[in-house]
Amino acid sequence: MKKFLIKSTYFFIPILLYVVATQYLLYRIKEHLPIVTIIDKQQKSEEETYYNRILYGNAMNMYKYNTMLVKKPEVLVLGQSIVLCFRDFFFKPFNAAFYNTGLMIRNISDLENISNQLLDGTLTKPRYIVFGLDHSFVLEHAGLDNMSFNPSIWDDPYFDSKKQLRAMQQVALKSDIREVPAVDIGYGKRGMVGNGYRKDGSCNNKWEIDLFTNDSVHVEGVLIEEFNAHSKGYPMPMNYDKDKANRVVNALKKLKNNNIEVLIYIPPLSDEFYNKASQHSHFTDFWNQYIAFQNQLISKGFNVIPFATPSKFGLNDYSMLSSDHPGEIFVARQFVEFYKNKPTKEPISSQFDLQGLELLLNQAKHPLSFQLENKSIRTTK
Amino acid sequence: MTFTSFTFVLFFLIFFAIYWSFKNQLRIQNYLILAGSYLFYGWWDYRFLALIFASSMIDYTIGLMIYKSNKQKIRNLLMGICLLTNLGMLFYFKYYNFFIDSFSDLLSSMDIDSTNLYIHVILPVGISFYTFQTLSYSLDIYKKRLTPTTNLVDFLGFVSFFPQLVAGPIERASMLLPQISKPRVFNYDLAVSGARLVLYGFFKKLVIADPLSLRVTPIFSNPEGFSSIETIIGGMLFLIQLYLDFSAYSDIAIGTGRILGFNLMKNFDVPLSATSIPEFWRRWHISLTTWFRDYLFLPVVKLRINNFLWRLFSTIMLFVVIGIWHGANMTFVCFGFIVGLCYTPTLLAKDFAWLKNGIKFINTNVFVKPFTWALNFIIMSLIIVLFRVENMDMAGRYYQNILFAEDFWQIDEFIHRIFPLVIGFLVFEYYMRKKMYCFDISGWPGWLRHTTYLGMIISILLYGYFAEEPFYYFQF
Repeated sequence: MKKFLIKSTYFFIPILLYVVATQYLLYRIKEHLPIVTIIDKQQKSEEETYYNRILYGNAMNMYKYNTMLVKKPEVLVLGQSIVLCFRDFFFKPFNAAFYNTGLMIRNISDLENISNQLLDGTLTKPRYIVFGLDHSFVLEHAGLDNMSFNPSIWDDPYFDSKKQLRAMQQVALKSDIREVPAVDIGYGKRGMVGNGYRKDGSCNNKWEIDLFTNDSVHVEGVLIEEFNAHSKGYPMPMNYDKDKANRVVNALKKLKNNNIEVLIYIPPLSDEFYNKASQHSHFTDFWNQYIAFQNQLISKGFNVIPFATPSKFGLNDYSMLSSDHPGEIFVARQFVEFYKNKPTKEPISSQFDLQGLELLLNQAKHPLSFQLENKSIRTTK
Repeated sequence: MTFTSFTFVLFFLIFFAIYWSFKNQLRIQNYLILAGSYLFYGWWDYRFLALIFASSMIDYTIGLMIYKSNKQKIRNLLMGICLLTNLGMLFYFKYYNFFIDSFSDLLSSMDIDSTNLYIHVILPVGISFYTFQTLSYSLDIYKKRLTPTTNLVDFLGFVSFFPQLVAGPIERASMLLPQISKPRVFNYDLAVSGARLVLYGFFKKLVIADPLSLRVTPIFSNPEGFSSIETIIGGMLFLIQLYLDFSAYSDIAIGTGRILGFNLMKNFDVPLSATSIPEFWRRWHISLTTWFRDYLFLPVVKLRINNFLWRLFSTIMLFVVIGIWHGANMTFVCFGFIVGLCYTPTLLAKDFAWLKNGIKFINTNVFVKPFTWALNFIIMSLIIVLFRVENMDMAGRYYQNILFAEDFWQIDEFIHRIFPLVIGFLVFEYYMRKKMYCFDISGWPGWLRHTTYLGMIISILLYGYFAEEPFYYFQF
């Protein structure tokens, strides 16, 4: 027995060495922590990149949910990637109490789940909610319906031994991964300022943003290709789902009836995409019902920022990150215009510093971002 | 808790330490085997435990009753009850929906709505394996070939012995029970050979079989997207993947058994080196084929052994049953039927000496043998398609693509890359074919042996495919 154990131990040594070496490399590129620890560290530090998450997958909904548990925001943004550009300073003087959970919820079941948790005390009840109601919430058989969120920290890919082994393999075999990442990507420094889009570190649309920051190139994205292929959000046929729409109304009503101000955001599309899609009856038939639903919400007394394309605000598609992702300037413009046209006496929104935000909008030099310098813009399709 | 998971590795290390710390205490060791096996099985779904326990208790009780009974009528009745309950459970969980499916047209013609007759149950992992293991126990007692055990713990341990519980080898009670009942001492050579097999199993599964599935799955999901030659290669790769996957499981099962002081039966004997279909089946999933041979085929074929048609019928029936054992699907029925038909020349050879000599010649002549091997490999690759496709419609699409795809010769880069590894492996297996077990390198010089082990460990760590790929045979 002794001989067997000693001989077996010899063969465990290379395994141990491999684990130590690869874990060190993972530590160097900041891929060595589970999400809960990252959240904890990010609440305390604004200096370091803790969460690059190239190798494990960012597990966004888990990350956002658990951050929300810690931050207990009073102003909460709910929805998919289309709400990520709602920034903290839109909501002054409540900017410190703001959190953008964009991409945490993906479908109506998620919305119902979170609404219940907000009301039953599992999560801290906010005083103001922006809810991004994109068309998949009322689209029959939307692919996203199967992507309900799971906030359990134990489902963090970090704790999955096979994903750990895969991460170790990649870091051992691919030298480009081993480079210490720039601090302004992923959940790094860029993600450490403020609380909103890219302020919590989302990598979403990084590619488009980088093109803009480096070359000022506008990219329509892949939406037109997806539309032509009838894939993802634009299947064939596109049927309006009445049951899902009713569920949305009920969930939002519940929030409203519990003294939460609710602002519903119907996300824009680029003019180019919208004009092309409008040539197809399967799109327009659905879209008309979607817009009718938007109007129904307005008639029920909900605050709704309605569907628009950039041209409606005198902007162009350069204010869009991609065909269906508005940039922060566009979102801010819609937000300001909405409250200017519909003055409110509600406790939270009546305090918003809209003049300050409008001033910032007037000073903005770039159609996409408050912080970028303007450059000559060229387009690629 | 699959063998290639971290959970199992941890479980086994802990189990090993506790188990051998009671090296002279058989009772405690057997309790540990039972507890460990139930923990291992319950890890999938704790509800499965009730089923395996019930199945074990039925055979344990009936086995004792059959043994004690002197009256043949009562013995027959008890055996009937045993068969009915064991096969009944298997039927309910595995075949009931298939049965309803097959008769849906008939039922609807009788104005019965079959949609309400379907049941929604999960198939308990390994049910086909342990049902046949317990059945062999009762059948052997019935045939007076075995004395039943009176030790319930030993018997429960025999049925649930975790190394071979979910995908075999299907052990006979006469082989495994005595090993459970007798004191075990740690045997260094046995443990080393076991550890070697475990390493080999991990290597086959993670470095070759699972990466192969990356190509096999797309070809079988959408054959029309591939050329004729790629579709043919898809069948070949699946045959190799299936063999590697299943034999890897058997290797790890036999290996862990050896480390714990048990000798489990050989389940594969280099089947890919076979030069005929009968030879292939003598070498493939030996524990299952011998089970059916002993308890089904031989009793039936003996009735009219000299009649060729009867022999052919018995053989086809054997393979159709083996096919159905794998799953409730028409594809498995067809698979069994075709394999059975392929036995025709061998069955005819019993009556015609010239045919017998001819078969012997093509299987042994050094010049002809490579061609016979290649032909057999291609035939098996084409038949095995039925084993993989979801339904007959898909099988039709697959075979149609082989015949009528536009680009016959186009082969993608992945296949080019994986080919040397697969060929290298087949050559190695062929070289090992005369050894007692497939990875017996104990005769190699120490430095070469250790370098091989090290190389395999490094390959697993760096190139192992760590995805959620369960062992293929778990679904059966």
